[in-house]
Amino acid sequence: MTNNDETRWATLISAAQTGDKASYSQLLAELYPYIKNVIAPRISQKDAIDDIAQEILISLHGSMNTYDGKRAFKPWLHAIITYRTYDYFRKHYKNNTYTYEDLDFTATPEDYVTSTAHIGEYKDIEKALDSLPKKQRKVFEMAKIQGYSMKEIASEMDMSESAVKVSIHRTLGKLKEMIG
Amino acid sequence: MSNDSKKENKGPEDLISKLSGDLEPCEPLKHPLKRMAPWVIIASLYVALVAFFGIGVRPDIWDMLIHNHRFQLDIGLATMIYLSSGFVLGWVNLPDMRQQPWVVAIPVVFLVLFIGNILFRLFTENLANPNYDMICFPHSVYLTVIPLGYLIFLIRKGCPACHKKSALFATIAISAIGWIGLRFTSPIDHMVHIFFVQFLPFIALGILLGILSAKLFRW
Repeated sequence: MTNNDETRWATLISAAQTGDKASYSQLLAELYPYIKNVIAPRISQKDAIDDIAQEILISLHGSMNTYDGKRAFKPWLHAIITYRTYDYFRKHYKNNTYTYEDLDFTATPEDYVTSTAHIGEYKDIEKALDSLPKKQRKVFEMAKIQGYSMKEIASEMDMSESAVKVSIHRTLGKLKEMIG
Repeated sequence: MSNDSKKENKGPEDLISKLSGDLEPCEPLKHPLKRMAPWVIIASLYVALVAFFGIGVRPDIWDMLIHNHRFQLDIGLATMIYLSSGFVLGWVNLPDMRQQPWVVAIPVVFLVLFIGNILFRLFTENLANPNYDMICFPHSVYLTVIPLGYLIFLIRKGCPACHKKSALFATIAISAIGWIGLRFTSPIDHMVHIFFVQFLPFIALGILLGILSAKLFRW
């Protein structure tokens, strides 16, 4: 966004506050793609972006009297964008409409890693584990060999639980690639 | 315009033409100081009326106001908290806080001083024979119910982008005015009573408002 946009939008909304429908229509038409660009990096579902952008336009319509013509337009607009986006997240997660991918697979090579019956494979796996970065290896060993819970590992390694799960998932992928 | 209006439309173009068609001239909100001044005046008058004509002021009120420095400090700090947080709500209930987020620091400074004063006295004064007269509970409700209702109405008229912040400063403002009312009406100056019976119930009010804030202040 350029300073020209900022100035033009401020002028348009000031005109809209006086009831100028043409200015208002132009303002909304210009803001719609801008709003979509702002929220797009935060939303993974493409069809939700249009919905939220429209919600934001409606919120802007309802709160137009809170804009002070002496102040910059962009921070005011962004406050509404942020509010409505988080509102969407709240509703979205409350309704459990998201899909949760469990990265803590139950099918792991744990038996092979710990069983002496597969001694050759054990060495292969150990070799593969040695090639991993130290932190990644420790996380994997704690989870799949020593049996720590995700919470315990997250606490011990100063990571979030989801980061631990992602790390384990990646390690499994790497091991699969290396061992075949 | 409701969300239903959006559902009636097929795309952004329809929505934009619908919103443009619905446009009516609107007066920008007044400066936050002007907007919150009626609340400050009405809340002050209401608490004064309830204290003087409803509950009745403590018999030694003039003596305390003129000669007791601790009482003066309590009332002075609570008044500053009440005024500053009441006015700051005028900023907090705008989406962008008028691009002046620093205003929230003013009541917070007074609040820190006030809590420091309460805690200091709690640890330094003689706490023997505490008085737990619970009459202050219903009195705190009488003193704050109307100012609280009016304040919630005013916050809802704005468009607060942070519900919890609105609930926090509403609680601070209401607690301060309620506490002033209680200090004017209750003759008990024991710190344990002041802390547990007059101060903590407002913390509970704050927690309740915080929980309900998303529903109360949604727009």
